[in-house]
Amino acid sequence: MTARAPRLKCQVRAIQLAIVVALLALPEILVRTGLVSPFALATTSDIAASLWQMVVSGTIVQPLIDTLLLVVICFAIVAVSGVILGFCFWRWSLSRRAFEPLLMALYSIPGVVFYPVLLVTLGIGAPSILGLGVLLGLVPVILGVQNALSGVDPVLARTAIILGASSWAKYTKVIFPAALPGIGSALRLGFSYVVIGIISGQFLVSTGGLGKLVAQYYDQFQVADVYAAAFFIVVLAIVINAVLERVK
Amino acid sequence: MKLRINPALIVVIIALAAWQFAGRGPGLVSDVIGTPVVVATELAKLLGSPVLYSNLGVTVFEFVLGLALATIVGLALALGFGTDQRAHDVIEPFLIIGNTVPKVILLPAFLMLLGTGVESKIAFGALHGMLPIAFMVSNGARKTIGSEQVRAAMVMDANRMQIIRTVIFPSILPYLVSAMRLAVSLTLLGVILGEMYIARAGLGFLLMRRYTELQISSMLAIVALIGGIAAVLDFSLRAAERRIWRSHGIQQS
Repeated sequence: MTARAPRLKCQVRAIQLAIVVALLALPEILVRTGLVSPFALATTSDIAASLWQMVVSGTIVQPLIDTLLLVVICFAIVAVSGVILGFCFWRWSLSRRAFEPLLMALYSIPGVVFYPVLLVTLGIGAPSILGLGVLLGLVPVILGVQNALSGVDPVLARTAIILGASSWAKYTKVIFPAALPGIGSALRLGFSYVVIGIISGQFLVSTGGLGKLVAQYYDQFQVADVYAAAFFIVVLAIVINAVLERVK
Repeated sequence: MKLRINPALIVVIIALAAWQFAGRGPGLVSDVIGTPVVVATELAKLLGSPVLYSNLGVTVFEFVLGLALATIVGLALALGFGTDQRAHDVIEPFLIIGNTVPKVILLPAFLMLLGTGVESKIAFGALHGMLPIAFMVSNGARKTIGSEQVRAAMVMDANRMQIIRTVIFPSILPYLVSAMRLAVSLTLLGVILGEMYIARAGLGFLLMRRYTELQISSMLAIVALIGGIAAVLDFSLRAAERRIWRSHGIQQS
C-alpha cells in the first residue's frame, strides 16, 4: 500500500496534466476544423498571443490593480464585520434568533439581483461594487464564525474560568484560538465570494477593473481578447485560492 | 398558552416601518426608491400584468432545462468519478477550482458560442448547478464504497450496475437531496445572471430594463418577486432535506 501510493499519485498528476493539455488544445482544434465559428471561439494560439500582448503592453495592469484593490478593501470589511457579527450571534442568542433566519433567506437568493438596487442607492462605481462583494461574502463568514464558536467545547471555557482566567482572557486565549480553524475556513469561503462579487459587479455595470475589461472586449467583438482576459481571471483566481489554502 | 413571537419577524416589521417612515416628504426614498407601500402596489400591478408572465415563463423554462442538464451532467460525473478512487482524485481539484472561480467571467464565452437567446442561459445555469451535484454526490458515493453493504453485494455476485442501483443509489439519496437544494439556488443564479447581462426576455432581463428605465419601485418589486421565489424554493427543499436525513438516521454535518 505504502509503496503503491506515490506511484498512484504520479499517475493522477499525469492524467490531470493530460486533461489540462487537452482542454487547452480544444479551441485550436475546434476552430481549425471549422466545427466552431471563429466569431464564437478563438484558437489557442490567438488567445495566447492576445494574452501576451495584454501583459506586454500593460493594458491588463490598471484593471488588475482596480480589481485587486476592491477585493482587498471588500475582504477587510467582510472579515472584520463578519467576525464581530458572528461573535455577537454566538454570544447573544436573541440576536441570532432575530437575524439568522433573515441571513439564511438572503443566502438562498441570487445575490446579484440586489446589484441594481445598490447601483440606484450607492451610484455606479466602487461603492456599489463593494456593496455587492459584502452582500455575497458577509453571510457565509457570519454563519461560519458562529458555527466555529459553537463548536468549541464548553469544558474548555469552564476550565479557563476555574483556573482564574478573566472574561477577556477566556475569549482571547481559549475560545478564539480553539475556533480558529473554523473561522479560517469561513474567511476563506467569504474571500472567494468577495472575488465573485467584485468581478460580477465590474462585469455587469462598471467603470473599471478586470470584469469591465472582459465586458468591453465582448462589446467590441474582440473574440481572442475576451477569452484571453477570462483565462487570465480564472488563472488569477486559482493562484489566489492556492495561496490561501497554503496560508490556512 | 404563551404566545411565541418570532424575533426575526419583529426585525422585518421594524425595518419596513423605518423604510416607510423615511419615505415621508420629498427625498431620495419617496422620490426615487418608493416606500414599502408603493413597492407592494407595484408588485400587485406586476402580478396582474401579462408582461410578467411572458418573462417568468422564459425564466422558468431556462431554469428547468438548466437544472435538468445540471442534474444529468452532475450525476454522470459523480457516479463516474465517485465510484473510483483514482478517478475521484483526478477530478476533485477541477471541481474545487470550478467552485471558487468567478464563473460570471465565462458568460461572454457562452453568449458567443450559444447566442444571446435561451440556450446560453440554460447552459450557464447548468454550469452553476452541476458542480455541487458532482461534488456532494461523489463524496456521498465514496462513503458507501468499500462499505460492508457493497462487499456483501459483491459476494452475492452483483454486477457494477446492480451495486450502483441497489446499494449506492439509496445510500446517496440524502446527499443528492442536499446537493439538489444547492443546485436549485445556483442554477437560478446562473440563469438570472445571464438574463441580467444580455437577453431578450426573462425576469433578470425585466429587472435590468426597469433599472435602465429608472422605474425603481417596479424594479424593487421584481427583486422582491425573484427573492421570494428563491427563498420559497430553498425553504421547501430545506424541509425535504431535513426529513430525508432524519429518516436515514444520519447526523447532518
